[in-house]
Amino acid sequence: MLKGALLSVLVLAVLGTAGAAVYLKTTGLSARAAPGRVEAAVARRARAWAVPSEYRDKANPIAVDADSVQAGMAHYADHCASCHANDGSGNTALGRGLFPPAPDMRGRATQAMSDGELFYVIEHGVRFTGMPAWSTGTAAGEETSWQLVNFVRHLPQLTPQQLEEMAGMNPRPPADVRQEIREEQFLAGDEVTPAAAAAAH
Amino acid sequence: MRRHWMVVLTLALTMVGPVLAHEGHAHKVMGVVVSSSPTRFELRTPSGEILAIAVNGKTVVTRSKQKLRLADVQKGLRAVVDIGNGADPLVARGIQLGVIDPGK
Repeated sequence: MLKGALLSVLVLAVLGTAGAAVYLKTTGLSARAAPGRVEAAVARRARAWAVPSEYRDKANPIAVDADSVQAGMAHYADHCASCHANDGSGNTALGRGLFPPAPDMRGRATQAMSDGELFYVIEHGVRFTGMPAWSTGTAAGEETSWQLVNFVRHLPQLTPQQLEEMAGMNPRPPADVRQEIREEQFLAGDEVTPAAAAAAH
Repeated sequence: MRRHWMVVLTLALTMVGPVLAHEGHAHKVMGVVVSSSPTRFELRTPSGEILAIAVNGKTVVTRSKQKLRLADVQKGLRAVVDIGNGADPLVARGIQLGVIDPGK
């Protein structure tokens, strides 16, 4: 009996090691290809299973109102949109290049998650993906994460006006900010040197 | 050997356009409108270069974030023009209008 069990464990270990070796060598651990359907389904279930139950069933303490959605939107545009895109589609250079790619959060897979699961993912991140842990360990940080949950729920109903507003909230390189100031000064009638104008690029 | 260099030269020349007009990066030019018509306008840049820029139904004209009409692009106004990827022929995606050029 014990001998049989040991043999089974050994066979499983050998198969697991062989499977891992095949996975490593066939994928090259490249992030360029999208995960297969089986891999994606297994990973999604594993992540859902891994979320502690006390989080899964947690109720959102922040009411879904215009203020909380607006606060979540501002934070999302500044911290999340680089990967997830303003509209939540994940259609950005960073989002597409991750493995797995940033999900379309307007879709069922994300929207079917409980508020607590979304909160957990925002606070703790997801290992082996590009999703970082945003927790600051503070009550204010948790409040922000709950506001983000409200905003993620709002993603499927985003208006063109909100998308335009978010575009103005996205992080920009200092050179772009300086350039915008130069443009505003020029439009207001200030002198602009040819060199400064040439930098409008 | 000569053929090898010809291939390298050809590749280099064909890449110049795409490199200058790289995708996904908005180019802007600033200057003073020196002429305008319903389909195009000319812009004099601070270095004195005159650029002919086409406009179309998708061109968005604004002043202080307020939308205006294409007809509001008038001679003498300062403008910052979004010319997309900067590929020829230049087409304005957006035109921000400013004050009348003080140097006019």
